[in-house]
Amino acid sequence: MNSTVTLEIPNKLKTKLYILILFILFNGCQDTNIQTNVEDDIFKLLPSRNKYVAGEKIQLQFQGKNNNSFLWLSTAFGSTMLTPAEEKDNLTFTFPISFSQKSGSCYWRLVNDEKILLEGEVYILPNTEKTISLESFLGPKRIAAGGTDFSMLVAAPTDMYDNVLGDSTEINIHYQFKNDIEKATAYLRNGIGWKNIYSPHNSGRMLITTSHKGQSSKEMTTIVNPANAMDFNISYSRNHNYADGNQMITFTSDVIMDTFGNTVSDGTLVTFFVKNSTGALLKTHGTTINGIAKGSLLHPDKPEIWSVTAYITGTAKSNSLAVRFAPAVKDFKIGYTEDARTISIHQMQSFMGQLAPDGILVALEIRDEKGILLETMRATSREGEVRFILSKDFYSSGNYQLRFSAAGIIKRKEVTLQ
Amino acid sequence: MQRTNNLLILALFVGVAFHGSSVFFTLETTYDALIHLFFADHYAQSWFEPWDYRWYTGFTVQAYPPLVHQSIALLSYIGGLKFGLFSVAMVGILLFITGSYRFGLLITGNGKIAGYTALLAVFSSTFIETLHLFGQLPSIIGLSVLLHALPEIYAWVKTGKLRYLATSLSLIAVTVTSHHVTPIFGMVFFIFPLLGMVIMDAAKDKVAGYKQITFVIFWNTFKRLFWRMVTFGFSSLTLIIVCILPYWINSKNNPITQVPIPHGSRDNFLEVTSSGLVFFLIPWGILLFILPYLFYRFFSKRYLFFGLSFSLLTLLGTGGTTPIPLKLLGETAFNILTLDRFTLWATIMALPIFGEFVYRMVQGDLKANLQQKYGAVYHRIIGGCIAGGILVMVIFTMSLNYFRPAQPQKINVLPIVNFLNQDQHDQWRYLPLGFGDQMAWLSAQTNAMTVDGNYHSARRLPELTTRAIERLENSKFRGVEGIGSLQQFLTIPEKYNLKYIFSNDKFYDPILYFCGWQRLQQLENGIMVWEKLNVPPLPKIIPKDDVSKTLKIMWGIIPLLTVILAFIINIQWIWFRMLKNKKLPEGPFLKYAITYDKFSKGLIRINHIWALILVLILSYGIYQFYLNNAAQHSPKNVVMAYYDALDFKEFERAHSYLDPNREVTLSQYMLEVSVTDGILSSYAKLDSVAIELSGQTESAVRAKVRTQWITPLEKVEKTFYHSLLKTDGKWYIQPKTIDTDLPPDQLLSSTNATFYNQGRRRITTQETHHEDVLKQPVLEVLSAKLIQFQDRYSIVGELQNIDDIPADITIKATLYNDNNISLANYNAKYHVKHKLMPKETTTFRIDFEGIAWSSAKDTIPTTFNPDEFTPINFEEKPIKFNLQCAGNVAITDLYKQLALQEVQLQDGSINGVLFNSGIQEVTIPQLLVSYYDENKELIWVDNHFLEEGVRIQRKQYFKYDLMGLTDLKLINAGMENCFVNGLPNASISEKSFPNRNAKHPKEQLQALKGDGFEFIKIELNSYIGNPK
Repeated sequence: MNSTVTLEIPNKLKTKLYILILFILFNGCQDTNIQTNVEDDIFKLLPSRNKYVAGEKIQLQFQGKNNNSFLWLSTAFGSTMLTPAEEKDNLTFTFPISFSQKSGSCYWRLVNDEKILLEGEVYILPNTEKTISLESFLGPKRIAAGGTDFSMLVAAPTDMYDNVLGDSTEINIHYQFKNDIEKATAYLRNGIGWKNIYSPHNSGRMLITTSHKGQSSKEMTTIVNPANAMDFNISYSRNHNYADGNQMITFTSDVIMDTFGNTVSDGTLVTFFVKNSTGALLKTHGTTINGIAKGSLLHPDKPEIWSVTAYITGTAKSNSLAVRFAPAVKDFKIGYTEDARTISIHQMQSFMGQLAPDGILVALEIRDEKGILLETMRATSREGEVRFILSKDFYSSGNYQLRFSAAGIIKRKEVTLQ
Repeated sequence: MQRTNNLLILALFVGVAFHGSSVFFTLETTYDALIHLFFADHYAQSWFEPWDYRWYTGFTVQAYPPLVHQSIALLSYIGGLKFGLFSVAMVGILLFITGSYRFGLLITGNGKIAGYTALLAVFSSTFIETLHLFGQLPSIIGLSVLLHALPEIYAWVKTGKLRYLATSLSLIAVTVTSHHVTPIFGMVFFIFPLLGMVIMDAAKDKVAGYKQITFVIFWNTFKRLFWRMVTFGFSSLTLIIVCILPYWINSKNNPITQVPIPHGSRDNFLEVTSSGLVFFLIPWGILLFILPYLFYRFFSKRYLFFGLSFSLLTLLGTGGTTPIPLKLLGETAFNILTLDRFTLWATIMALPIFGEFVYRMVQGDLKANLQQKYGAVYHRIIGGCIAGGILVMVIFTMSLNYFRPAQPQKINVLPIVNFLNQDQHDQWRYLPLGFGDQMAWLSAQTNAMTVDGNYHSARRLPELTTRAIERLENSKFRGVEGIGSLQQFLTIPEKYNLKYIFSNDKFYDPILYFCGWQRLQQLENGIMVWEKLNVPPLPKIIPKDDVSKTLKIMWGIIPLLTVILAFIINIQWIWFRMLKNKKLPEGPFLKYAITYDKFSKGLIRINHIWALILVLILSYGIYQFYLNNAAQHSPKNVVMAYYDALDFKEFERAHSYLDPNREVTLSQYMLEVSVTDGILSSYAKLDSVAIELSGQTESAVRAKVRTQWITPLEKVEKTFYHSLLKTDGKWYIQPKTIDTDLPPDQLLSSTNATFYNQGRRRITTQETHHEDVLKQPVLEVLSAKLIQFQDRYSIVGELQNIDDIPADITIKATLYNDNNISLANYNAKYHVKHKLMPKETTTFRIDFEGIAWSSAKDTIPTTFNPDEFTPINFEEKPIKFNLQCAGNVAITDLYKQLALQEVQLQDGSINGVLFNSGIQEVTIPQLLVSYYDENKELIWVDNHFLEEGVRIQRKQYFKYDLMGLTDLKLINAGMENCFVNGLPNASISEKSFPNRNAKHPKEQLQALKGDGFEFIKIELNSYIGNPK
């Protein structure tokens, strides 16, 4: 209904405007007093309240004769024009529910043609008796232990018309952590109430809820993560101390804790750095489970002294471990066939006299008489043996210098190929 | 005349039975059919709106004449899109056969010959190829309708009856709305010669025979008929412009400025034999053998103009074989047109003459001549050869798609459509990879949008138009340009709101992983879905190029209106003429039929010689083909053959080249092959092999084989050494010794923290619930520097995941000049670990890549290099930078069990071993090597992909060559513009990591003095091809 009214106004105004323009045209530029058609009726607001509760019926009554009078309403949500219901000499304007249910100031103006005859304000209060919803938000949902990080709880209770409640409305907050349940209060300001919930020293899960006048929010969760890790210790385990290039050595950390004694989060990356005797840095990684990280490396294939340190970069560092590897293969033998074209490295025996595990790398450098490198052959051992074939097709008869290296042992030979 | 109808009816019957049934097995696997289906789907959804958002971030369908698409769309309302497609194909078949008949009748004036023409049209290899291999429906329909129009044009010019003008123009209008190129070139190549023939015929009416026509008579006749021709010419020109006016306006507004896409029809057919086969041999087919007859007949006086046109078409159809087509057409036209259509028109034009030949062969003077001269048996043999040749070509053409499929296996798109419809996945763009033209069918099934598309003339993004790629989807076939384009889309997907990739080709997996994508799930049809985190959804309002309402209405109404009008105007004529020719006034061309009584003897001889030469050339070609494939005749051949077999994964063949005396059994060999994995064995394509032989004796030689492999990530050069031996006259390769290393444990266990993200816990179509939105992991930028190295600018730095959950990271850098004007932005690509565990650090480098070869001066390299880098041309010097890092919760690709061992530092290189201590096989290990100056400050980051994978509890050796960094210049090391998840880095550092120990990173460096650096650090990243 309102919309039809608002549509009509401009048309009527337009007509008036046309008449006005014609009038001016007829009168030329003469300086005359323009008479309006409006009679100077005196309008009077009949006594009424200026405070209402949202949802109440709001009516404004004016004494006076209707002569194209309208009531213009304006709130934070929008404006509208009302047409009056006429009873004898009274004009009655009823607020539409879209206005009477919204809390806040509502300004009105009684308008006749383009003149403001009367104006005023009514104040609509939220309906505190009928609170039906309590919106609450909590974030971030993960914070670090230690009392500096916090989650912010925001609560906004509203009445049944979705009006926020007034300042200083009390909101009750409960939060549970481990065995404790604590209570706190927040007060509304500008429609919302908020509270920063600081992390405890322990890691864990904190459940939070809010309530207001019997209305409760749902259960909200914030996870308290452990803080940054503290320095820790590492140890190692291995099957034997020989450099056989085959067994694994595993480095294990203690349970890594933060400053407050919490075990660090699962998956925290720990990097184990190994400095070998040549100064080269080796590394392996482990991710923590229940605070313990494990990283593995293969035994070296020659005697070594390793120095191992683990890091959680930027926050924690471990002690340094020294790990020694004794030689596993102490010697090997070199055998030739009659024409010296098949060369076998054999009897590669490990620390107990057993055949060295498969996969020991043997390199053979072949040089001619003048010492010019012809080829480097590489092969890995199988059952303690490696075989090289110097084919006639590629090595003509003559003298050659051979250099064997395996497991840190180097041997040189000179052969004459037939 | 009764016999004519029989032949035509036979042709129609056989044609519909043959094409109509086989089309169901061929059309969907053709190159174009599904594209037309997609366009049809567009019209079915919004008939009058030309803008389609689904391809190329939006394009207009006014870039292609709409008749065929709209017809399919109209029919789709009855029985779905495919019903529409096949129905229109049937109509195309009918129109083509009847059109050929009418064209034959027009040219020869002989009903029987026209019947033969129709029958030959059914089996012409050019038609089969166009329909069953290329699926060019609009082209077929346009051409067929043009063939129908020709007799009407003839009649109009000859008789001047307005009725014929109406019929011819109505048909021209249909041609125009179905295919734009056909009427334009049809004018030149079909209608001009036709007008020439009309003048000849009219001139002949005045004299006794064609021989008496002199130029004066011809000129006078031309003047007499001039105005009829002009009337027709201008009317049809008007139709061409008006009927598809929106198309012309669109072409003018969006001119095709893109780099031409290489097309096989422009190749030199002698060099690229596959193109020669598809674009020359198949369309010509059996016609090649009677070329002398065709030219002889076409250059008789009546057909003189057709002869000229035919010769020109033949010549243009040879593509890049000779430089003549390029010179005739000019550079632009040559590179835009696909030249195979000239061959198509030439072979269609030749059909009536071929029909005439067959008629004379079957029941005319040629038969008599041959029988008289060589005997009846010879005539039958020749006839049998021609018939056999036709059948061979038909079967060969039809089966080509079966033996050399142009498309990947048929994909069931339903699971993909369902995926896109679920959970608001269509709020982002998607990209199919390895789908072939089936991507068009997928697009037609969904309203989700893709950055790719399948109609390359409508491409809009500069990343696409500046490169000669048809689609991103098949970018691997387009070498560096394809992969280069794809990399840009994968590295900065936020720009295109690209979040999902459907991969039907394992080849692309590594590039996806190293660009920071992660596997989401495998759909039931085997398609792997990859996703990228941190990509915003599409905005609600997407820009479009709008056109006026008038144009939209024209585009929506005119095409079908032309069909309706043509139907009304022509129905009595076509319908009756087709079936009951007698009852109607005969076409004026019928009286110019000639009698066939004296077949030229010289021609028979010439044609025999020609056919003989052709047979010889063919035999020689086959012999050459055989020779090239004889593998073990020389050491080079056997090495080539060995690598070829490896490339195609034909391991049994590869094994057959190994020395049998070394007793490596096939099963042992296969076992060894099956355990090797890595970028070379699983994702590479062999590009080139260079063989150097040394120390060759009678029976032995050593070969140094330099191979180049194309992988999705980079071009890999690898040198192999082989010893070759000759046994029993055959060369063999000595098998390599294998690594005998045994892992320590038979059975092993591994414990790791694994993560799972529920996504939305509540099943709802509403916005994701507040509680279900995960907090972004917090990152901290430890250092960031703008570095100039040689001619390129990069940002290097170090980043740490300081949160307690794994993070997927995206780093975007923007460069600014001194006046804070942004110059370029790009994301970190390969030089970063995209997934970080809690507290893990990564070094990163961001390069600023331009669009390759965007200026015309640049020459496109002919070799392929996926890692090709085009630095941006900066107009001003970058001074400042801004770094935006975003962390998102990662739950996959968190494998960290790769260890670095046995490191040996040498001058200029590092040797070492990677050891896999976990229980996943690492397919592609990556080393991130960072360089530091004497103050242990980061100065550069480099990466290195290992060519082979690392199996569980095994070692993999690597060698990395150190870089020379003397040309390096630090421009800016200011960290004030670094942001993480939108917050300033400094505040995060202060709050989350107040007591950072700055010494730790410095203690983790390897001292190694080199060219421009003092320390290095090696980080490891592992791509797992088959996570278990």
